[in-house]
Amino acid sequence: MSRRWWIIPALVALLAAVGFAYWGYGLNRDRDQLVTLMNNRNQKSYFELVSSVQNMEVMLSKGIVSNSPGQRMLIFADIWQQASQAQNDLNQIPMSGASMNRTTKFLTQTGDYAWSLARKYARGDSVKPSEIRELNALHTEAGYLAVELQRLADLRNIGRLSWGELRRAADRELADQSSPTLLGMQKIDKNMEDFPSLIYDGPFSDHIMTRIPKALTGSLINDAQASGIAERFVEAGTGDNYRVVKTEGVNGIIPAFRLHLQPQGAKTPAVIADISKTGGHPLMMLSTRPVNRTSINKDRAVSIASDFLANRGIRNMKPTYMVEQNNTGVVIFEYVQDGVLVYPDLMKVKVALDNGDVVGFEGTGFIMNHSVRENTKPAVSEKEALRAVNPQLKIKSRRLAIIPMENLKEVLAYEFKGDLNGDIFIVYINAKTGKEERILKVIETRGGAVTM
Amino acid sequence: MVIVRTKWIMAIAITVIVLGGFLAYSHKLFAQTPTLYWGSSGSSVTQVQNRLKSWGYYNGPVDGSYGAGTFNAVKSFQAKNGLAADGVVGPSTWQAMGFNTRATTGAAYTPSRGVSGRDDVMLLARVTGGEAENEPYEGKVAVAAVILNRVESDKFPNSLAGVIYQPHAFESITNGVANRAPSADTIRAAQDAMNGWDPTQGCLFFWNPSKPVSKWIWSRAIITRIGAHVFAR
Repeated sequence: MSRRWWIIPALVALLAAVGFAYWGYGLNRDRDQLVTLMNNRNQKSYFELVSSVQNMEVMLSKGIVSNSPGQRMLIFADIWQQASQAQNDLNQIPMSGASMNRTTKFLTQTGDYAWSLARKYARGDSVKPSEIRELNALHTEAGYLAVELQRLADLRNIGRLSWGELRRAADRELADQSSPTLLGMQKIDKNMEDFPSLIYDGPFSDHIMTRIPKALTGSLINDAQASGIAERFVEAGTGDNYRVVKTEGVNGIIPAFRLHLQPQGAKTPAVIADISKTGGHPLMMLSTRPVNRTSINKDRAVSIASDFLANRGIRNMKPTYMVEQNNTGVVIFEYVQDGVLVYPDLMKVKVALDNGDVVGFEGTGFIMNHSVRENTKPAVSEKEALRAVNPQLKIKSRRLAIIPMENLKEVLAYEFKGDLNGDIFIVYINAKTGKEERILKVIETRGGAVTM
Repeated sequence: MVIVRTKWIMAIAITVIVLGGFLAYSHKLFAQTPTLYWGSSGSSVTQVQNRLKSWGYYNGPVDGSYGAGTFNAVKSFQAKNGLAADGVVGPSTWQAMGFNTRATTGAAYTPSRGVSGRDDVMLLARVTGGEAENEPYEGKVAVAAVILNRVESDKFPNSLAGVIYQPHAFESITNGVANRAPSADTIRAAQDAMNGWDPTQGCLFFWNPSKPVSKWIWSRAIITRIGAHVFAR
């Protein structure tokens, strides 16, 4: 026995080796299955994308030819759905987000445009020559995309499309981009840049992405002046003393100074304030301190927020609702002109519910949208407007309001708040045409009312 | 004689470890409320037994082993609660026992009255935490705001989950770091962003300039810098 002492360790080692080999083989097999599964999913998404874009191209041409409003509406609704589906599929293909921006933009805008046209034709409006031009342009673009995507698919159809979604390949993609399929798609996206941009009545139109602020009045200020404004803004009505310890710049749609303010006695800044370079308007204020308990009730929070605005000379703002979350209450204010509530001119004040400090302010929306509205007189009387409302809705309150539509146009409307079967709804009736413009449902959540 | 026995013991020990290793590899993880039936075992069974015992349906030992006693107890519970009395603890039986449900009052459940929207914030908070856990508070709000700006933009998917799970969009999603629970500060920051605070004035991109990124992203107009991140449109 002592001469062949090595038998037992050898057997053990053999067993261990076999065990590890089995384990390693199992891992490898699982990994292969996962890779195949993911490749299959990407295949499916790709081919569905090609199919949707081809459908879009065909339907766009049909939409141009069709001569009946009913048919047109159906065709454009269909295009919207195909665009939605195409977007979904495109987003499942593993590309770094930015490289398919232009293609995503095309799909989003086309779908959105088709939807706005479907709505128009449903109302019975007629087709305008500018729309035919836009549709022709979109049709050409869709045609290009469909042909290119199909060509790419044909090229790679011998075998499988290779996706390189594994981590190593994704890293390489950033550096030298090796997957030919992804490279091909990126090339398509780059060529799409050459197509013209689309401006129309919808939330994704190009003109919305390049808005200019309406209430940015006044002359340029320097950073010393901005610091003074920020300190006064944060301190007013509090009795605390704040000092600006750092100034930075924000180079956005509204160029601004970003000031970091430190309260007296503290070692680090606790509040940031953005003040616009033109006119020194406060755009935003945010306190970074945590709030850990609630001891103030909703009504008190709303009055604190109202006082906050009054102490800063901000008038004509009415609080419309409050959302309570994480021991803070955000009170929403809207501008009131001639008794009409102007929703786009919006400000928010955040109140800490432990001691009543104001820990946040948001006024960028106000600066972007505020102007004195010209037309606040309704063309339709309240009684006539009520006729357009579902008679079963029990109306609890009514007022006039200016509401923004998706294309950023504003509409003067009667706002009727009522309840039906225990659910609360807000119905907006256009004060010029008397037609139902929008319906919102009010849902009570733990934090306050949310409208959907 | 002693030496040989020691070697045998060592051999058996190593064998057991190796076998245990690849058995552990092939063992699948169970969900927290898995479907249980006669023969199941584990902590989920213990939970069921505890619950049924406290209600008087089960009188046997709470041992995590689903046998005849547990089977009969489950059947009587199901019969008493209007469920199919098949002795299998599936999703509806779990719910009826009070696991994984939102607290319901006596009133009948009606759609859209239970909407809390809290899940959206947690999703946003998780990816914000994954990307910006060590950033100053306003940096977290900024990152969360960029994600929300992408939802509004025509260049990105139109849903929050679509933007967050877009392949290769966020490092912390790709490598799983975003699945960790976010800190209270991060949740607050995500909530602020959802309420409209945007320190970036509409930016769609952010990155850490000291980490390698694609050259293309540097062509975007830079709006501001907060902490370690640069924000661009």
